[in-house]
Amino acid sequence: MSDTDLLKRFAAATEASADARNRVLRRVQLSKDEGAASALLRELPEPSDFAIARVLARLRASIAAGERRSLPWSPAPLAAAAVALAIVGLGLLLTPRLAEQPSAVLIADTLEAVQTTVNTPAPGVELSYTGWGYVSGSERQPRIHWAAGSLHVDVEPDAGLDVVIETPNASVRVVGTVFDVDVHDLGTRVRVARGKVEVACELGVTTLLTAGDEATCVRTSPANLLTFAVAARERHSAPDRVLALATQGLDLEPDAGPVRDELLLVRFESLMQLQRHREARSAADAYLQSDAAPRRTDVLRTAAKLAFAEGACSLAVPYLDALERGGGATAQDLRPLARCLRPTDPGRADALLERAAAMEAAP
Amino acid sequence: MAGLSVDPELVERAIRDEPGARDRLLEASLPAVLTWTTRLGGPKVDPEDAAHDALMIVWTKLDALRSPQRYSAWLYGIVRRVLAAHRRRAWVKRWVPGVDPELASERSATPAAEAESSELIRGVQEALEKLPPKQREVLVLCELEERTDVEVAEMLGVPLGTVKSRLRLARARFAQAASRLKLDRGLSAHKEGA
Repeated sequence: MSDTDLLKRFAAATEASADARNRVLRRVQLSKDEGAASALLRELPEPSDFAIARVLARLRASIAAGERRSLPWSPAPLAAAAVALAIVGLGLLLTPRLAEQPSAVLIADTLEAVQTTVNTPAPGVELSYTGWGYVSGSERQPRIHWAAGSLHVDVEPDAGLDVVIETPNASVRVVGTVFDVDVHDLGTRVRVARGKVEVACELGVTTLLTAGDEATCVRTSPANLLTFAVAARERHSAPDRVLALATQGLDLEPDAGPVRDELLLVRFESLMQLQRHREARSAADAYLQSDAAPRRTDVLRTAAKLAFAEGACSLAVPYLDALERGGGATAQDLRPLARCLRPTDPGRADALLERAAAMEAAP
Repeated sequence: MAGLSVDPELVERAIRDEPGARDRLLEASLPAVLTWTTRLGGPKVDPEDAAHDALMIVWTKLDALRSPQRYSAWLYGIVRRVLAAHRRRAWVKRWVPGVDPELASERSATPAAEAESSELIRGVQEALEKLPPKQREVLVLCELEERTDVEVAEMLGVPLGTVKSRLRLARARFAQAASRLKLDRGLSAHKEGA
């Protein structure tokens, strides 16, 4: 066989198959086209809202339980070995009581689920639910952290069980009863079918419910607290109660916006009613920092009066000045401003008095 | 896209432990953290467990963060370490009853389409898991989160050139793996879309 024949046979034997050519072509195509890799990667799903809510509920339960997990990078191997040895040693000395402290178990379902799930986290306690939450604590003291949805609880009476249901807005303690807990966007509703439960709402109101009773703990949000504060004011509740609600709302709403503005206004008015004038003026300052501040003119005028009550022209001038520059000043605002400005700016003081006189002369 | 977008002011308030600020910070960070743990964790890691653990560290260790502007990189560093720890102890399994019905229902209308979609997702995940971890994270951060190479370099604390070379290698390896796994559907869909 000649060299040429040999080469031809080698060429035939090593010729790439159509499949192999296509594979390489696809690979080249993928390598060249960066967008193709992106398109494939985009097939990966985003975490669902359900998954996010589930992790958030677990986090809140962990935080509420004061969980301090061992940090993944902190324990040195030797320390871990020492701890393991200590646990083994203790295990040899003590009878294990594993049932006393079961680890937190996720109970999960969907809010949309038609079928209710039944779960018995501890003897004598039966849960039927559509929603999600966690169970921790012990068999005698189960702690149910209920994040969202409906939960029906049936606790065996006189079994010495201490059952507590924690929701984002309420804590429900029960000894032997049947009741329902609904956690929804607006808050937590508790309905008692049998026995007694004690409901402690997030806002600190504790109610004892008996069979047939129903109570709702409204979600603590700045908007809700504003509603409560305004309602309390309209019901002529004690100003310190209104002030407390507004202050709670402000603690939750550090961002500027209409809700914060209104809360600041309610706080200012409550402090005025309580005759805590210096604090009221600080509250007014906070309110006036907002660009929107729909009650700016009234608040400026009141703050100026408070400043005069403190006996200092220098304190009142910024408020009156802002009133004048904002176009909301009346003759009664311009005269005291002129009086305060006369020692330093007599020209402007005269001009202000002239304007005040013109305003009063106008029909 | 669940990219991390957190206002540095919120981070500052959380560091100062202002009421509600830490909770808001966790809420704001959670979608991005869960995305990272899902895409970077690999088959042995439960992404929800890892996200929970990472954010618990944020909750307890936030005081250690020196600069609020570096929150994103700091958080990513925590997620990386948590994922590494979870891979090491991946034999511990958590009981999660049922499936995620929301996810299942929103992706596909018919069982056949669902099966096809699941197969593609599994394939893409497999292709991604074939990459070395350092290349995988660069690919995910650049391609999926659309971060610039400069941002990624800052997050990972590596030179820009390193990010670029890792990205180039990651793309090539991912393409090889995708080709081997015959993930042509994604490519053809992309072509049709274009």
